[in-house]
Amino acid sequence: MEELMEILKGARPDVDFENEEALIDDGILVSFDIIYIVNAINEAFDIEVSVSQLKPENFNSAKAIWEMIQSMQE
Amino acid sequence: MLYSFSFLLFVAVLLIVYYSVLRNHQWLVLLVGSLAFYLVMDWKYAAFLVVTTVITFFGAIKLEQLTNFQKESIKENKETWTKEEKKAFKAAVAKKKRLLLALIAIVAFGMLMVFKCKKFLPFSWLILPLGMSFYTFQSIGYLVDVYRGEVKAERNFLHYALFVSYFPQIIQGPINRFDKLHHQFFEKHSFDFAQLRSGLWLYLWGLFKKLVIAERLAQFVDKVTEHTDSPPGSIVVIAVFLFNIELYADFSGGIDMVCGISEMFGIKLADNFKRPFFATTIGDYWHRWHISLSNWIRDYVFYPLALSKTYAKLSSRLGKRNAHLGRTIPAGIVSVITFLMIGLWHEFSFAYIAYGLWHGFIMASAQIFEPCFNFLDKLFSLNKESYAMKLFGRARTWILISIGEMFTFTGSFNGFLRLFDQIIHKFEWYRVITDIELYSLTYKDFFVVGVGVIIWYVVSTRQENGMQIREHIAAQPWLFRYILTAGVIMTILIFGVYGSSYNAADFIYGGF
Repeated sequence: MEELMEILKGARPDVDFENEEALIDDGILVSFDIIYIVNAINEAFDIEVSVSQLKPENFNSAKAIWEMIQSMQE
Repeated sequence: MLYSFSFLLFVAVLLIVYYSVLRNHQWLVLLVGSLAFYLVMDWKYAAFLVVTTVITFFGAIKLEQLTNFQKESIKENKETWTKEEKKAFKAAVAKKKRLLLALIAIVAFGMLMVFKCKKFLPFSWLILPLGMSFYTFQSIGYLVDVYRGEVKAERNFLHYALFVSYFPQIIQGPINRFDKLHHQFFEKHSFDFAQLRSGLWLYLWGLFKKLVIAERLAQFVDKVTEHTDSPPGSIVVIAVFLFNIELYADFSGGIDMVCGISEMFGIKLADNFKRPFFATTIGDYWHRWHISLSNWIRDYVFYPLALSKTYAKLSSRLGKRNAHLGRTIPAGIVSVITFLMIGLWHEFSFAYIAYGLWHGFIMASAQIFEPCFNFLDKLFSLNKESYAMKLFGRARTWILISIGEMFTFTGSFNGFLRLFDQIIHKFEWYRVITDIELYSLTYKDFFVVGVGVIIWYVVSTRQENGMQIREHIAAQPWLFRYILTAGVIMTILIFGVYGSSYNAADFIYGGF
């Protein structure tokens, strides 16, 4: 989770990723941020997030992103 | 089209049948109505609609069969196949799927491109078939969804035909998604007066924007663009400003009418506008303007390109030198490509290529030079959240959008250069006062437009603050509701630009 938080903070230092629960629904993360985050987590966690996984429920919070990563690693 | 007596009669008859004698076969009423509508409006080009529907219908089934075949084969040979064999088998099926998808997309987009590129082809007399840009994108979107396994392929051809040809949406969109729209056709819709009334209000609101504002402004704008050599720069600037309002009133008015009619049948269509001129950046603008197209391009073009291996390699290589450039340069390149596609969606011409590139470059620059902008904000202690800065952001966005619209304003790139030359070399500001009535509209007309835009602005401000306008009106006493409805109808009848003597322009986006 720490590694993910580092990636997220690197993408958008101005966002409170610990507490935000609606990163997509509230328009906090834009498509540029999502692309950067996805490419970074693909490299860091050796996974391949597909386009169909780019859904609000997978990216609305740091916790949701972490759960998606974990489910892909299993 | 959307406000002719015959069309309204058609909707009324369809509604009566839909909620009475055929209430147990509502989807069939919509299908027959949609096909009848298309045949009456554009029977000559109906073959293109049929071909797109047929190839995407059977293509989706084949794609799903390939996916199932892949899953079942792996399951059956779980014990016997090695890891490498499984991988090779998966790659072979994936290749087949990709080929099939590409083939269908080439045929569907190829047919569309023939019409979009007609200017450069020997058959420039061709007229774009009704709704082709919309139904092509909608059906290819469905095909990709099936390819990705996000939706199940529809096995009933008539059910699918309704999704592609549904008559309110086919006129000028919005581009709907299969998972959001399709199931609504097969739910039971009982007659609900409040819902019918709500749909009617939305329709009237769209009609108000179209006839009172857009059609009136169209006369002025058309007159200025017809005489691109003579109008002074000051009039050109006014025309560009008013063209922005005309385009928004025309397109959003049309979409409101389409959505209003659909709501009367209990079918909710995709959102297409969210008050775009409240946007403080171009990025924000594209989250609010023609949302169904920009979402389509994002999901089916931008994301696949940005998640490709080439992108990841470029991003990683640049990122090693400079993290910021690694993040923004590849995204900027993809942005330019996607906005170029948005431009070409409208028309294959230099004017729309310039329009797309303009938006792409602004989006890319905003990201690449973000640190410079942040530095300036800090240097001048600017608070982005302050009202003044928001106002500045809106004005800046409006100007950038206007420059983009100027490329397409006269329909040609040469026209743009001529108008630009007028602004630089022959501005003559005083002619705004002396010559303004020479371009079809009188001061009275400008007054009507002004009042119309103020009403529109007040309503938009309330919506921006979260008010659900129609729910709010519905909660008012009945006398107020009826006076308001009658007032809007009277306003449209008195101040709308229509009638047999006036050749009411078709919807601008109906032509794309």
